[in-house]
Amino acid sequence: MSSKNLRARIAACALVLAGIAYASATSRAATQENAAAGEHAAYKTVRSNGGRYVLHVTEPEGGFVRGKPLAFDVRVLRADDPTQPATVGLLVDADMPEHLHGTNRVPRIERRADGTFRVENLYLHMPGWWEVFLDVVESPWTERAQLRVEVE
Amino acid sequence: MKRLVTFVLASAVASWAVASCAGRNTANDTANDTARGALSGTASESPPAISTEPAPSPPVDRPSVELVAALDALTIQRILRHGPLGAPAPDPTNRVATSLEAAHLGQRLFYDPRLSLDGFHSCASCHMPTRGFADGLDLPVPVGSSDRHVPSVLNAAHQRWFFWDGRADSLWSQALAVISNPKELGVGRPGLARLVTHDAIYRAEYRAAFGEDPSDAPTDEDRTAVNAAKAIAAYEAQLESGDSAFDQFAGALAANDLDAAATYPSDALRGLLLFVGRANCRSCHAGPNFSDGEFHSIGMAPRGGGKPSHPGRMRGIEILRADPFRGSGPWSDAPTSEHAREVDALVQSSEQWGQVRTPSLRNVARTAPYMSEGQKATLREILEYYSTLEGAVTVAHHGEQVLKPLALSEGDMTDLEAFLRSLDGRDPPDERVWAPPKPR
Amino acid sequence: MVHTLLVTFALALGPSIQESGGAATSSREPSVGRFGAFLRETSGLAAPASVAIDEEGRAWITESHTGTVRVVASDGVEAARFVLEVVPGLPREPHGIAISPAGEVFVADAVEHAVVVIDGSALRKRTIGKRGAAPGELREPRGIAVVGGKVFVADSGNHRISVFALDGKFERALGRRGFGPGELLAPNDVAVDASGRVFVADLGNQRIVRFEADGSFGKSWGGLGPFAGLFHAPCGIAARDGRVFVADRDNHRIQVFDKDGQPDHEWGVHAVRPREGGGKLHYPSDVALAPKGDIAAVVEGLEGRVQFFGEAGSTASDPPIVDRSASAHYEGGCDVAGDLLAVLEPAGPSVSIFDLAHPTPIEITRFGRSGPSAGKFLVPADVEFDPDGKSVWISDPLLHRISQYSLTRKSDGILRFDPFMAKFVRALQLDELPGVPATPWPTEPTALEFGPDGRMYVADRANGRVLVLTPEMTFERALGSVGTGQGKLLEPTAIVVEPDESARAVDKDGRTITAGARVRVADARGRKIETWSCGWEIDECGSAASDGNRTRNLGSISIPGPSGADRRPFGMAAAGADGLWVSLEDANLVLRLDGEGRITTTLGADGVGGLGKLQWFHPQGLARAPGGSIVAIDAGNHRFQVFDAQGVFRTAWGSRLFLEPILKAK
Repeated sequence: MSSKNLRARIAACALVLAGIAYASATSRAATQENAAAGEHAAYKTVRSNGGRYVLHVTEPEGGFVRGKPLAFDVRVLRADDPTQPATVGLLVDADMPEHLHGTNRVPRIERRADGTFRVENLYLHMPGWWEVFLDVVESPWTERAQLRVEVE
Repeated sequence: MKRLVTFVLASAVASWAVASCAGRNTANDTANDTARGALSGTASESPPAISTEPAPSPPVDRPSVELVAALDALTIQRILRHGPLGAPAPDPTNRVATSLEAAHLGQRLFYDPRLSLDGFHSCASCHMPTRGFADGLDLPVPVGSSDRHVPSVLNAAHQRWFFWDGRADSLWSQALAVISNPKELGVGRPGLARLVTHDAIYRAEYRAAFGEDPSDAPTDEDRTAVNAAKAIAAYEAQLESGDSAFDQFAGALAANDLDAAATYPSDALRGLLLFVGRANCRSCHAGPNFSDGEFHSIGMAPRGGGKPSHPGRMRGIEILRADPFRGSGPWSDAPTSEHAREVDALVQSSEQWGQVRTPSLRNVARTAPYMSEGQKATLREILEYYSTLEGAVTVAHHGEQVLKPLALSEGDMTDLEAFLRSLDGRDPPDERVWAPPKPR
Repeated sequence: MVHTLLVTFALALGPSIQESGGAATSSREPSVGRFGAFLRETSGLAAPASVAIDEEGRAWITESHTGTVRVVASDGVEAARFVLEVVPGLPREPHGIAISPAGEVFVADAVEHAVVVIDGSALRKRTIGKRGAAPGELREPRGIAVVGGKVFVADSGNHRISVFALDGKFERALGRRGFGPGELLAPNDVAVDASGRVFVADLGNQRIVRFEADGSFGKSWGGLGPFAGLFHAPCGIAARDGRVFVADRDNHRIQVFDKDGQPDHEWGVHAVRPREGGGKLHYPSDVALAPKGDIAAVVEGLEGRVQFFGEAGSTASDPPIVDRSASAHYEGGCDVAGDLLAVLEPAGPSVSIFDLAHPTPIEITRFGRSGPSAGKFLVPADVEFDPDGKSVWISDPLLHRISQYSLTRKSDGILRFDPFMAKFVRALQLDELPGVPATPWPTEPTALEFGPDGRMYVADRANGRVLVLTPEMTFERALGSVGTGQGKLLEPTAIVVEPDESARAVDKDGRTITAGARVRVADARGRKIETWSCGWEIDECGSAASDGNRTRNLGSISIPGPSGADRRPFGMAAAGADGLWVSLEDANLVLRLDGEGRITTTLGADGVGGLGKLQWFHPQGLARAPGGSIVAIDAGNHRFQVFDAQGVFRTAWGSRLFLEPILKAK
């Protein structure tokens, strides 16, 4: 192999590796590992519609599937102080915008001692485009964060 | 005397033979069905063969292996979500749901006309094995009359809610409601308890199933009746319809056996692709049971025209919550279970007015006519409705808006119908149909 | 001087007026079958609210906009008319009316929040209740029933039925605010049957609630919807011979039930042509039965009409379901920002956004779902664009909150209807905002307006005030309090805010150190426009700091009407040079006023209402577009009209049948 050829190959490899490194470093994929001690669940990050809060929402086991009661966790952080869970209330609902209907079951929400929320019994009964509403209640405001979910 | 008896018997047999050859479902047929029921205890008699509705039989055109191989991953995924049906989840509110002894007792009760006030009608009078465990009528003609089309009992254990408006949340409470309704069977819980207590065969079978004797004393009659209803539910849970041509296709697809998959008829395959594709029937007819188990209104005009008048699910939830025989009530075997307490988490709103339960499409070709009042006589009529939504009662600003006219071509409708016919399953085994023989 | 009661008679009213509505008469007639046969109508009324029929078959009708009670004989000829006033020049706002066996007439008045009892010659005998939240006090009393020696009042603003003895002694209340069993939300009417069962038109909850004779909760039925047994604004109710009649307003029908809510029958085909009557119904808001039970009177407030129905034949059938997809029933407030117009259909409930940059405005989105949870509405009152033009704020008085929705329009330049443009952002519960002064009732936000500096002004119709929020949405100050007189408000309906140059001061370096806004508030029930100046200091960083001392009331202006009473201003928009455009819903006029309150332009045919260009029928919200054009909601005509700063007609759009007269005139 000529040295020119070898240099070209090395340059190409370096470019590829750099590309990979760049892509993973600046990845806009919202899924990240939670580095906090004792928690290993992957979560999606959702910003509330008014920008005040950042929510970490785990995926239910098996994903957002149709026709099964779904359970997941939510942590609410303030956008300007994301170091600890915000002391707020949370309301959860879901809706199919194209169909103009919501869910047929009322989800249960439990607030844990560490300030995170456990949501259970979210029931998405039809396939298609759902919006899961996570409404953060901090008197006098209620601000919505929402997650788009395509259910098969 | 002997000649008289012989003459009477011969006449009875002759008239039975003539009537059963008539084919149309008339009141005579109903009486003969019950007569068959009354006679069915004879050990020497074998149950008649079950005849299914004949399907049209054009020459079968099979797809090419390449066509099947060309299906994209998302389509395959959507197809595979429709099967296989598998065994139903056992009902925790019914401790004998999977008990063979209870199912045996329930099977006998199912065909027993003594459950009706007039003594001529059994569950099978409306849920006829020869008619896909429905009755082939738009509206039933049991003891009195009803204004709802009879659904099939096949695969019923896969349902979550029962009756068109979901007012019952278990098979056993559904049976109990029918037995208690004077417009349907009508003997009520006391009558059911009495029957089971004073008939020696029932008493023995009850003891085998429940480990105690039945009793029709006023303090015990409800418990006995509830148990008997749970036995009927255990029987009904056995009425599974088994593999259909579609299931075989889906199984072959899952196993990547393209040659086996390519034995599925072309028109059914085209219909299936519409079903999971452009026609989007899977929106509501989802999952292995081809029903989301929920409630919708498709704007179907009532029988006889006019405005819809059935409140549907909105009222069904009210009735369910007040029903002492609901899953979270005192007669349930798991009143605090997650399953039973779903009734407390139900959303109830006026948007549910008029909504009825999404029926399963399995065996749909065998259970004409269709819709909650039997408004549509054939599958084709249903497809034409979905194609144009002509005559739909739609109101803006109220309720969900899921349907859009599909504008199906003639070919589309033929293909969809072929697909729906491919959902016919095998019948339950013979020994599960008709009353079991009486013990010697 | 003018007597408290201004009385004009045609002939003296006869004696022995029997009670209406209830069935305690000694000679009970057998109950009639289906209703629906049209007999006659009385039209040309000014916002009729309620009707009662006496023993002689005379209909006693309250006109809420003129404070008048009209008495119309069974042959349709007017027998009497008299005006009820609180003080000279301030007419009452009568709603419910009922007649006792002794011939006393009970009228609910929303100005004094009391029930006024008058005798047959219209002389006031006594007053029952007064404004307040305590037991025995009333707020926004609406329907009345007088049965069995008791007076039942739909105490709408207190969300209860208040029961008094005939002499006015308070006995008890039924219900309280809420959505649950036995609770009520803005109940609008009440009826009592022969057994003493109390039926309530629970308007805010879209249902009928029954209390038993002992006051315990019996049952309720209904819910929002168009089908039998569902309602869309059940406004009026009557009970007779085991049946309950409900004026189901936005379903354009009267529904009849048994006492348990089982549907019996219904009547009322939806009127389509403008002003069509003759048995067809258009927003029926009250129903009453004659003492014999053979005639039903139906009030259509928006149409200014009362229709009378008798028994229909056995072949009569229920009317078809109303298709409300083409209702175009825009009401309340509206707002313009750039090329976009935001309007409300409170009956939807829905909000529509139109693109005005076309010869005919194009609707580009519509949103809104019914319900009390976050992101939904009960009955929205006003819509206002955020100063950045990218979101709208909507007030929902019965839920005591304002909600913000962002609007995201696709940037590809294609004009389309996009049902998903709006997204709920957040909601503000006004009474939880720190610093908002406590009041007897939770805030009921109606009119919304942003000032040029970004402050938000929120009218509170329950407490007669305007809340001022800083651009950061914190509470700053409140303007006004409930009452009549300077600085007081009864029913704020619209707000116009402009910079107040007189409050502006600069320091020697030319930096603005104080600024202010001039806030003008239309008070429909108070029949005036009240003005305040709100000033504030601006610190070195340019932030505004409020100063309560810089709030000054600058007095009010009123618009005289022809019969001595001032006009009811509803909508307002800035007209430049200190002027104002004002819509007068009761007079069917839109006026332009100058800075001193003098009328400089009049649009419309006074009192009559019309379908032509710049003619109106219940004109409501006004919004100012860039360039000074005004968009006006011509609510009773299901259409919008646009005119320029000089009052010259530009365009109109809306329901086709109501546009034809304008289009033909071209």
